[in-house]
Amino acid sequence: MRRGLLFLIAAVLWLSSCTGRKAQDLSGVNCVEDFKGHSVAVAMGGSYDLMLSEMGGIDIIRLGVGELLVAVEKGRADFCIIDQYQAGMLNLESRGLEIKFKNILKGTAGAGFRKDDSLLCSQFNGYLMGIMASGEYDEWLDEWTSASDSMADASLLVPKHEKKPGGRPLHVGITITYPYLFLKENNLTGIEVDLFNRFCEKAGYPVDYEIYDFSALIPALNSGKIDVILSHMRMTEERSKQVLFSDAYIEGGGAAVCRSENGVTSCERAGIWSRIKESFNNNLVVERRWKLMADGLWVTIQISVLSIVAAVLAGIILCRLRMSRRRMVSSPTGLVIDLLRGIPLLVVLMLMFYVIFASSRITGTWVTVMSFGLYYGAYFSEVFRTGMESVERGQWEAGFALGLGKFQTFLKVALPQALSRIIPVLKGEVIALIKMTSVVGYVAVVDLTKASDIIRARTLDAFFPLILVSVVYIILAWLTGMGLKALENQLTPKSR
Amino acid sequence: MSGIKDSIYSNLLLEDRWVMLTDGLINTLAVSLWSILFATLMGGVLCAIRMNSGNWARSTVKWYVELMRAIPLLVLLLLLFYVVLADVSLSSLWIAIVCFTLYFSAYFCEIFRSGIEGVNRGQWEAGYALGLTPWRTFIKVILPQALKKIIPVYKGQLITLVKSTSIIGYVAVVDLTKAGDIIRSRTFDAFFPVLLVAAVYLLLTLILGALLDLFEKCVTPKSRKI
Repeated sequence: MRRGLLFLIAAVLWLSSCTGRKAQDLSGVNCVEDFKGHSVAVAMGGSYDLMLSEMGGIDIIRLGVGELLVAVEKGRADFCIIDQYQAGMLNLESRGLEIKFKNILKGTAGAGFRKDDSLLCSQFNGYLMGIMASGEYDEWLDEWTSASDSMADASLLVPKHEKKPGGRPLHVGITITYPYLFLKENNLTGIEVDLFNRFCEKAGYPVDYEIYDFSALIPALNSGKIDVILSHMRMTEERSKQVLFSDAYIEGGGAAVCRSENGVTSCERAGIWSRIKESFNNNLVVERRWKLMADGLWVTIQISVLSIVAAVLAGIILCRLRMSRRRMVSSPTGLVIDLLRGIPLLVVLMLMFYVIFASSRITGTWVTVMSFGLYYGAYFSEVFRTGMESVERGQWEAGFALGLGKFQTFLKVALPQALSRIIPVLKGEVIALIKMTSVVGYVAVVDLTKASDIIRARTLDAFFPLILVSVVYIILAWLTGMGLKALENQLTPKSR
Repeated sequence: MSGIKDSIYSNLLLEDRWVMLTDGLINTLAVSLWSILFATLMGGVLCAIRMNSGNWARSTVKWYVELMRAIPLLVLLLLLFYVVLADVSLSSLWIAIVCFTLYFSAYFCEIFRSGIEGVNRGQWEAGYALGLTPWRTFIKVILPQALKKIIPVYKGQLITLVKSTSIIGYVAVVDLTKAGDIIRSRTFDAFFPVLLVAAVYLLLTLILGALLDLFEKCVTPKSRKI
């Protein structure tokens, strides 16, 4: 199986370096208005998405940040729009892409506060006004933008302002957005982070950054999970209804990227091994990004193990209730189990995080463990139940006839037989659980998948992080399968 | 109450956003139903090869099943969309259907196989003893017994299939989930779209489950009125 997988990955990477459609003639497109009639890939829900949607007549393809470049590269879209500073940092030529034009779809961004938190907002505005008057603001902006015109070297600046201990920290929700907020050597930095750190130092707030999905920021703010949104969020009318924006402090613009006109294909540019090597270097070695992946892997393992334990416990309890002779107990339990199995896990997770535990400061990790415990507890309980029911009644009677008590019969006679049927099925469910932990990024936990997303958002490499992460999940699943197999051998009577 | 009214207005009525949801539902249904049909057929064929043909074909199918079960669905989808079928002029919707067919046929193959193998060998022999051909033995004797074991597991897998179609937004198909996400990204309402979408999925899976229960009643021997 593993050899087959390696073969597949190699084949796919090779194919990916050769395929691609012929580019359309895009020479006539020189400004945003010319996009009409073309397909343009944008990050879903971002400001470019909003602005282009309003124009109409454009075939907008809404994708994740990581897939934007590959969509253009493979001819799925004529253009994609990414931040102009980030576009300058990437090695677009090596992928057969070029920046068609820059400085489009500009807009100003500010920090977001809760509607009833005008005190903090005015404090921040006051600080902004202060530094604008004193010239510190220009100095700050210069420092970041003048390092080079592409802002590539600006990322070398690591914030000078460390967070202070003591007091109730400000919880700041961020989304990794280059070059405004990003990880450098696994430390959070960026233009906006630097500004906010300076503000917090001046105002005497300790600060605590949490990484969210962009679409989750406003709900997190309004449910009290975070106090401030700092995510290069542009001020739009609909957002202003839900968020109190500070004064604008930065202006951002996009770059339209399309395929190079001379149309070199990847096969001519570089061999397959050098491409893999480059991907490996960009996604893992540079800035010690592997460390982010390793931390993510550790979080995934922790969450998986705790969730499995919680789910087994919940499953046992639910199974006991479900098999109760009293209909008053068993039918409501059955209903709960059916409901939990019918709704998506993500909904359970979000309800737990934003509604049930909205006001408590419990971390995303524990909310995740509880949600997974509950959700998979429902699945496990059904597995346990079928296992228990498959043991014939006669076995129980035999136990009683031997003079064993009810519990003793269960433990000594029924359970060992049931386990041999439960474990093979449970194996599939446990592996499904491990794979499903990839959704925890939604509740501000940086697990393996989220770590790879963060790296993808920086390198805009669609495949390498994805395939790497898949391989890690496959290995995890394989190890779990082996572990359960060993457990099965230990427990079932036949193999003893 | 006014909160709910506001939510309904901004998430559904404003700018005719509900149209996006119904279009999304149609895409979800299209992908689900075609995938179920094709994956079941392909699963059946794979299962037949796996259980009958010579060594070479059998081990190929075995490898195929192992591979499909090991690779995450999203990875398969992205690879098909951007790499394998990048040059084929196939719409994203059909690429999604191809992907789900390939992926779930492997699962179905295994479900069918374990169901058929779960029928006692003596049943085959009994069929032959009655003078039935292998094919007729399979149809008349084995299949009705196997279906009883297959359908409950198959049902669970179908529901998984319908729920997993929520990832097709990654390849620019606007399905139910993606429509909900687009609306969310406009209104920043955390719950209303998610809950609405979840309720629709719940409804879909309940209907599908009920249909399969009905089917099970029709085909399994025990529930037939003699």
